[in-house]
Amino acid sequence: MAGYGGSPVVRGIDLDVRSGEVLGVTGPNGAGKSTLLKAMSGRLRPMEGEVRLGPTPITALSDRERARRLSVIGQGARLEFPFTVREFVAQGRYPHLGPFRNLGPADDRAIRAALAETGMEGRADRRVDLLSGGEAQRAWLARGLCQEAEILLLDEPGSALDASYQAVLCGILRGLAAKGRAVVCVLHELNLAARLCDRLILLEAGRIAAGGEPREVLRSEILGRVYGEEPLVCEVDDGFPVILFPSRKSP
Amino acid sequence: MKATRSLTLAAFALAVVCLVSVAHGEMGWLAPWKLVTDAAGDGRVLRELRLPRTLLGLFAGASLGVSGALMQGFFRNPVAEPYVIGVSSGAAFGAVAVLAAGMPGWVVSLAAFAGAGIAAALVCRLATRDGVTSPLVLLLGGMAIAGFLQALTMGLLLRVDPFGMRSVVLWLMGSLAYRGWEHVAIAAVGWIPGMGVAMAASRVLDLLSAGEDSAASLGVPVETVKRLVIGVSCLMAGTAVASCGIIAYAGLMAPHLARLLVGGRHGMVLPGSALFGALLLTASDLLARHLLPGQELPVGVITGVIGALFLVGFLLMRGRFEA
Repeated sequence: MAGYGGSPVVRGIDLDVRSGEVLGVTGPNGAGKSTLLKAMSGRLRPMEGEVRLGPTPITALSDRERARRLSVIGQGARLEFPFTVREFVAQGRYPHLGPFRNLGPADDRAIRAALAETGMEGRADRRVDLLSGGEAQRAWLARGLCQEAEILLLDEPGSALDASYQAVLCGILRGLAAKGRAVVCVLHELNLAARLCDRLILLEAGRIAAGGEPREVLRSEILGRVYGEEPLVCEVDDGFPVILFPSRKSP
Repeated sequence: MKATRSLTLAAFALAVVCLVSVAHGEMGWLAPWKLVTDAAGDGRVLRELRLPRTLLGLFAGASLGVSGALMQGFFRNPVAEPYVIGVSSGAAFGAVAVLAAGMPGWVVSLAAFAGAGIAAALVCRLATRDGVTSPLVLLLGGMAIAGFLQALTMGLLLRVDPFGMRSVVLWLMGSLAYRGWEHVAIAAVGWIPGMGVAMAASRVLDLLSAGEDSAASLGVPVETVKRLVIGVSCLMAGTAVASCGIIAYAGLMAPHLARLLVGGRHGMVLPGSALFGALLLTASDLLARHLLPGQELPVGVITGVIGALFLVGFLLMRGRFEA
């Protein structure tokens, strides 16, 4: 159970995240997705229960040890100060370096790899405060990748990306899972969730309403119950479900 | 490379301004080497008047610049400066209370520093709940406490006799005139440890400027760093104000100039802000001394005018810098 100011937002959640899988967390606005992610990251202390990294409770780890093992990638807040993309991405090495050690060859390699993976090599010397929303989100992703953590927690990683780059994002995150990382994504976009995730949990009012493979969760009757409107769910040639909600007036 | 060149040029300009500030004054040009070769006469003027004045400009300007850079990085707000959390209003209240009571100069500095510290501590206390300090409440609390203290200061001004009023007004406008080595010592006490701590925290400040959650996710102990940043910023601004009164805009302008020339990394922005803060205050003091023949202006008037013009120019040119 976790929440704010004594009021629980998510409750009764028992969840395992496995190495090598992409786990999606979805649900309507206010269902508790971001709160769950905050609790999983250790930023929000659960009111009941605990979060473990392997056998170790997350609260038993030091701040930097936790950051070496777990990377949290936010929605990409606007940056006010004129860092270059390379400087910003290099911040992801802080858990390995601390406040005083300088970047070494291993750090340079990690920075270059993160820039290449997110397609930001050509923009490495541009200022982050002047990037478009989608480019800034890619810079945030690159910074998170640069941490080289075994678990990645992402909050709406595709919200500012165009359709083509969403496909690239799917490729990056699937590639990380294939290398044995555990990836947890909060996603609003159900069609992206269908393509990206091995496993999906659907939250409703802070509880798990459904969980399993995307095709088991993204069913018309389940979505209808949670979202208050049954969508059209069809399958295209590649086997992924496609979800279409009919337009309607605000309730 | 560009950053190092810019800092070197700024350091060179600062050295020239300091040299002129020591060499030229009300008594005309004096050779700076007389500081060591002449025990009385010109050497005494240099030692007791011009050198402390120049060093005070260096320390106080550098402190205000670094303090502004810390506050802007912490608030993630390019218009933040130490005065927004009540440092200047607290100092003004402390100083005017003591001046109204007719106490001597060194007590004024002490009272100004105490006022700045108490105001900042009050604002921080207001903004901290369950061990977490909210930057928004800090900003709004700063405005509330500043407004309250300004009202009290206005009330106190009515109690100051007409003869004392001139020194009160001069103090409120900020000045480096008639300051001695004790004022240099106060400013140095703030700058030396403050600069050391700020530089040690520079990498963490880079992380904080992308947001608290983001910094925490990278393993930064955010609350500890916040307290350190606010404490150091208040110490530096408090000692600067205690030693030379309220200097407008120095804490706002210096970090902007630094970022414009050296980029966003605090490892460069902090020394840059110190250099530009010191340059701004010592150069403004030179202007204040020589702009009107036979009359000296308070340096706060010069920094106020330059600062306002700079801010307007910066806003107008912002699009060009971003292109």
